[in-house]
Amino acid sequence: MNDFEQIKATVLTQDFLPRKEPLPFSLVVIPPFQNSECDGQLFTESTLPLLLGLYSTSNLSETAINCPPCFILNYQHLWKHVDMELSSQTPGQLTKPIARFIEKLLLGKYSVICFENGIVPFIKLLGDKMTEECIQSIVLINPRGATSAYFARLTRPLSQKPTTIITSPDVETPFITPHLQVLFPQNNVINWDVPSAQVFQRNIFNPSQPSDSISNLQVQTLRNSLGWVVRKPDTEQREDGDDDTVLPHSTSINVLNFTMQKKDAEVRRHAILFYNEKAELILLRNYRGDIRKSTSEAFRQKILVKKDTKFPIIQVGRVTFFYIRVENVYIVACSNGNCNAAMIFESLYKMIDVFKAYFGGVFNEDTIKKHFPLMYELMDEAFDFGYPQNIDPEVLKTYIIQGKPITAQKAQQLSVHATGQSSRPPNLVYKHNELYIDVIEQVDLLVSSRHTVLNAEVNGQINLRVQLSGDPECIFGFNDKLFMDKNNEVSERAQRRGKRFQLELDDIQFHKCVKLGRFNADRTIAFVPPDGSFTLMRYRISERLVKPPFNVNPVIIEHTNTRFVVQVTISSTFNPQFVATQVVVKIPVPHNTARANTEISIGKAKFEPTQHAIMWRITNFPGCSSTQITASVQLLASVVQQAPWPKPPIAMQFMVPMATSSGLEVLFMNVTENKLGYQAERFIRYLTRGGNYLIRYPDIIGRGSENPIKATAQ
Amino acid sequence: MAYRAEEKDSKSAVQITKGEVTAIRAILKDSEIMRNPKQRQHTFSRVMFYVSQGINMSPLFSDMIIHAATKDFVEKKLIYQYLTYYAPSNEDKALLCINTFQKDFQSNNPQIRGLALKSLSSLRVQSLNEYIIPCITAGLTDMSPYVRSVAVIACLKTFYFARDFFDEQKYLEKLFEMARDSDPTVSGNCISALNELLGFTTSAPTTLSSQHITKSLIIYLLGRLDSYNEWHMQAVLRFVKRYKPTSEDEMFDIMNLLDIYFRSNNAGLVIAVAEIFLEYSSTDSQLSNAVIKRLVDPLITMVISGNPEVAFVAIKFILSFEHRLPGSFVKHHQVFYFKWNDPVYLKQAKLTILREIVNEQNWRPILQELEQYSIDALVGAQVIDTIGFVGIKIPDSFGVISRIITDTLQFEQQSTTSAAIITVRDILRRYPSAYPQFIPLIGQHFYSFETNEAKCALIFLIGHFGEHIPSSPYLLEPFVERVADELSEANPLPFVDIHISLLNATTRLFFFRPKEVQPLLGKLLGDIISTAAQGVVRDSALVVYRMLSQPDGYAKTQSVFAPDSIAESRFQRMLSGEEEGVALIGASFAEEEAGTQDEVWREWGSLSTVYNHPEDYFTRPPVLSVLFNRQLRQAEKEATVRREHEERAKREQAEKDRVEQEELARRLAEQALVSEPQFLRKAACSPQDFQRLWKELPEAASEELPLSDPIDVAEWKGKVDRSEFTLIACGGNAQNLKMFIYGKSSSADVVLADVRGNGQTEMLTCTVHSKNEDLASQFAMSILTILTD
Repeated sequence: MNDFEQIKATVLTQDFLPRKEPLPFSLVVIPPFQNSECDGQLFTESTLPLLLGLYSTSNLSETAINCPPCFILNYQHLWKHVDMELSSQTPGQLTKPIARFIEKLLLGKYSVICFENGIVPFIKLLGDKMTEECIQSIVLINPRGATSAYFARLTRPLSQKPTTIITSPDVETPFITPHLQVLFPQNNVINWDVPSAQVFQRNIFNPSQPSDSISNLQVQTLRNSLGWVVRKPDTEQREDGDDDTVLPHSTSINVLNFTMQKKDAEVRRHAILFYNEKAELILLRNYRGDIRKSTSEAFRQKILVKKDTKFPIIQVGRVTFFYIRVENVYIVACSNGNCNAAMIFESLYKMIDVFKAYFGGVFNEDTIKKHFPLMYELMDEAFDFGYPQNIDPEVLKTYIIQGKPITAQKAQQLSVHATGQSSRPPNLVYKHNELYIDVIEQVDLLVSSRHTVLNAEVNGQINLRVQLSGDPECIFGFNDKLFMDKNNEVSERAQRRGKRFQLELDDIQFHKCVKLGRFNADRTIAFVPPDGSFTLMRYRISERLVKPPFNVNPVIIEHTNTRFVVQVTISSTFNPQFVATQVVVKIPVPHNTARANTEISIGKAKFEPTQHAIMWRITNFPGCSSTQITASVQLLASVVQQAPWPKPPIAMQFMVPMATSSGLEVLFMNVTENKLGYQAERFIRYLTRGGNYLIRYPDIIGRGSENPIKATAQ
Repeated sequence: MAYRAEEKDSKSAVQITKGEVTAIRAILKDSEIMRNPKQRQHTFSRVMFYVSQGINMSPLFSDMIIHAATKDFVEKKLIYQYLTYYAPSNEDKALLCINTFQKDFQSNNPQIRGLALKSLSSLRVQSLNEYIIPCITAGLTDMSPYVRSVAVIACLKTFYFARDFFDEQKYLEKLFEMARDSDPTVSGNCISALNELLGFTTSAPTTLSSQHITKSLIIYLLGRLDSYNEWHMQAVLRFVKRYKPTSEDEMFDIMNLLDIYFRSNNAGLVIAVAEIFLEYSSTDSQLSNAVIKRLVDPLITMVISGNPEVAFVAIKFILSFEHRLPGSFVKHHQVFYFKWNDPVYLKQAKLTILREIVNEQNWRPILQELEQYSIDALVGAQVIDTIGFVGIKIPDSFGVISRIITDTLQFEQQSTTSAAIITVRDILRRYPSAYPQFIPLIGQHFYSFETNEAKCALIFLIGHFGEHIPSSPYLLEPFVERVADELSEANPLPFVDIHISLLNATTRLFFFRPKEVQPLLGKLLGDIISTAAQGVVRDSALVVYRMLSQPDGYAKTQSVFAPDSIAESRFQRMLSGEEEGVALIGASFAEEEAGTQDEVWREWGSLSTVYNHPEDYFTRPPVLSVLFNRQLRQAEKEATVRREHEERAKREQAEKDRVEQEELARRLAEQALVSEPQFLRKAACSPQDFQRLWKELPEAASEELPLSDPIDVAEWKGKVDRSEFTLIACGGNAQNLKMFIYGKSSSADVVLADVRGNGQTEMLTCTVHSKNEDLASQFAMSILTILTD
């Protein structure tokens, strides 16, 4: 290693001035050695094998040899850290350590000089690795003393992030100027300034020597070797690097400090914004009065206009934006506090429910514009100073009635109702007391190409429509195993009626009105329902209990390179007394399909070139039956070699009324209203429907079984 | 209808403003039109429409006030909203509307009272506080709960705009009292307000908080938890989180009580409960693990049945659990399989989870699943990346991975094939001995990649495993041949990575295939040294060249570029941390990392988890305070530990620490202070004088800044007006803005600035004329900072 001792004494070349052709350079890292002799050695030697990317300069000059080691930490070096992270097997994002490392560098544990061009690999590295959300903006400090258009031009394309360039007026003492300021991550301005610079000065020459006794000559040497040439701001031709002059050494330290004082009471901003598809702002409701145009503009320009992946939570400046998209409208909530993101999304979706309830189930750009004042009114009631107050359409409807003034007396009464706990309007009377129960189950299925079930799941929900007078109390029961275990009476009754099946649910969620305490005690579902429609509960059952209502068995037989046959057999497994309706099977075929001939016994099948699939529609599909489609697919011959056909899965949609695939049954729904004592009529409806019901194609059998079907002819 | 007709050209919204403002003013003044209620409402809607478009409607303020006394409730709401929006910029005129508000506040309709109070408290006009505060205080005791709930939030507002009154009226104490209000909304709003106030650690309320968050209050709140709506429930839970249970039994009682809320279908609420559970169990790792296990099911439900955004957030939470207690979600890998219609961000998030939970047992199904996604045009590259990660974690999977990668490399999709080659490189860097499974791919095809990283990866593979690829020198040849052309291009910057990789690869290969590579290496070194500009590439080539040309250069160079197996194993040892040195950096990473992760964990449930950064990172801008906070927190932590050990010494020690910290803070603050020259406030200067001085004084500095935000003329003007400098003249529009600014320093030096903002080039230029150059550049910087802040 002896010959490489030189390498650790590395200084940058003098030729550092920006030229028309930018020079690639990297970071110089100087470790803060207590004892520069030994620690430095250790650092150098141990890192050297890893630092094959450690580049020395072309002039390992005499002056440089006396310097303790500095490192040019470059792109590849940083890569090594990624490597280490990869190999350490510790979980974590790849970039985090780099991020922290750089932060550490900047916090003064290591001193860093970063030259303008050095930013290139730096940013690239960070930009490459999904750290988009990590870096907020980059502030480059131009070492040359004056900000030039040249510099801006050079650095602008480097990053999509907002880049601010700051000139330090006194670049005279190069190590004292903050050379690099990175807003990292998010808003953390890292200012590298005096303290670390002193460390630098002390170490670079001689640790025992106080920093103020550095001779002019040393500074000069170092500066020259680093290529710092300072220009006076008023010299002409800033673009041209040739006529630079060196300023005389001055002892004044002038650090630009951009640290903002933390305000004691920093106002949090809260607002909800609406944008249309063209990213134009349609409506803005400002809850704390300080969302300025620049904020909404920033969001528009930095998020909506961009074509990158759009994360639903994103930060611009100090403001975090949460947004969802409904139809052609983006609804954006913004805040600069640290809040519960799930809550914000929930409230936004609730808000959409409110709008839909008011606008007849439709919510899009047109309705916003049509109901402009009403939108304001609703948002005003729903949030106060950014805090959600009341986002329940049923409640809001009672006292926000556009155009109709409410009498003072009624308003008095209503305001109690609006703020109180009950979402039932007082003194409600219906002529017919009715209760509709909808049990809707969505079956998700994913079958692998080897015909094993990868994922099968039922997501069920029980929706109620309530038209009941007074304040009824309801008790609801279904064949929940845990409930039946606790209530022998009920379970005996159920058994007598021949209902033996007991259901185990993976997870249940209830509407707010359900008395959770009681559920926890004996699994009784008791509640006072709000008036109108709502979802009483949601539940989830995972694969062990789910019997998929349809078994789908596809086979592909390849005859020639341009012709193959797909055979799909579908058999229903549910009770023969039920009939599935609106069954649609989408059988994907390659993009270069010329035609497809189908043979079927029931339904209609058609090759739809726009969908790249054969759509097989069956109006009625009885239970416990089976049918088959045989499609012979003719491909277009093509000369160009194309990617192999990715074989998207067969997708199926269906509805099975009157059945639940989980076997959930409503056992009882008791309504008691003490004052009025009426009998409520109850209507129960069951429906199973296909959600993500996907079956993958098996491997191809036949002539070309070794090569998967290529969308090509060879 | 009028405002709808206008939307067609809303693109040019800025241009139409001026005409629009006068047109609306004319309508507002036209009593004929304003008598028609429909027309009236449309006019006000139109005004608000423009307000939300960001157009300055402030000039209409006095016209709007005239109509404020309307009877129509909808109109009233629109006008009030307008008034509160523009009151701060029309301070003098705002007084005129106070009367209307006050009258409305006397109304017997609680909705109108509430609206009036809401508007009054949002005026943000200092001079009117004496009228506003009595209304708020009266509102707190109003009969109607609706008005009370508005008044409670109004108290919070006074904390921001009238801090003196907030303290004087003892609103904080009142809020604590009113937390027991019979109406749940009032109580809930109280709690929301208190949460926010107690968040300001530095202000006076902190001292109050510990006394006021009493056991009885917490029990009271928890007792009536069901009465709150879901949003207020969340506020209450956040409040409960601040409370430290006095005994373990109490803690378990609270947890048992709250356990049922995991069943809520509001994801936010579930998270809020989880926060309390994690907070309470933070001292007991066993309990904390049990809590994490308890949360597995609710989080999975959120991923499956929630809206995509909620699922995204849930995945971030799951990720944090996986870091904390690895393996909690291993069994549930199927939950994170893609759905056909998942948005891209959700797919990406799911990939991050899959890479966390993959292990010896489940890698087969996961890889099988990932293979299905690799053809996805949007996330294909990330999928391949994840597959590579699985490989690095589980070397057994190389067989499967190599097959997937072979398939992938045949795709036309550039991003995917690039990711594939990079993946191969990553795996082989870690497991060089696995080359037989991967290297045959390289020889089979001739690949062309578009991205630099992929090209570099290919070159790396050829160079480092060239001895196993029969055609390796010929694969490198086309790259070497291009070097001379690339170097002579106007901007060789994009090729730097390639050239460096090429240099490393060729040099290494030279020691294995000397005869075939020698001409290549010679050409490469020659091309670079003769044509490359100064910099990394040329330096590297020179190093190689000089090393080789030393007496025993061959062996030495070989020991660096093509180290034998011993060196290789040393590298491996370093990676595994057995050998010190490199680990020096690695270990300090880990340490640092653990510290930050703990911090993130403490803030679980908030955005910190989503961003995976401590709160300080994204809510507080200044680094010094971050540093300072950290140090403080560190000190606090240490103090707590010590407290447990020594009962006696603790107080003195903590006191001492605190003094030290204060001293440190003071010093930090001192360092942070800027030694800027002092400018006189609003020094006067007439335009004529300015013109004369401009000609007299030499140009002393010129600064430029690229603009990050579009120019807002009025806002900028306001910014300068608020600063200590004098605005002499201002003209232009958002595309091209000109400003002349005058300043005078305490040493009587004058500085004159000509600021130009160009919307097209997005540049802001500031030219300063002055005698004093230092001052001039300071001045220029200050102006630019003011404008772009």
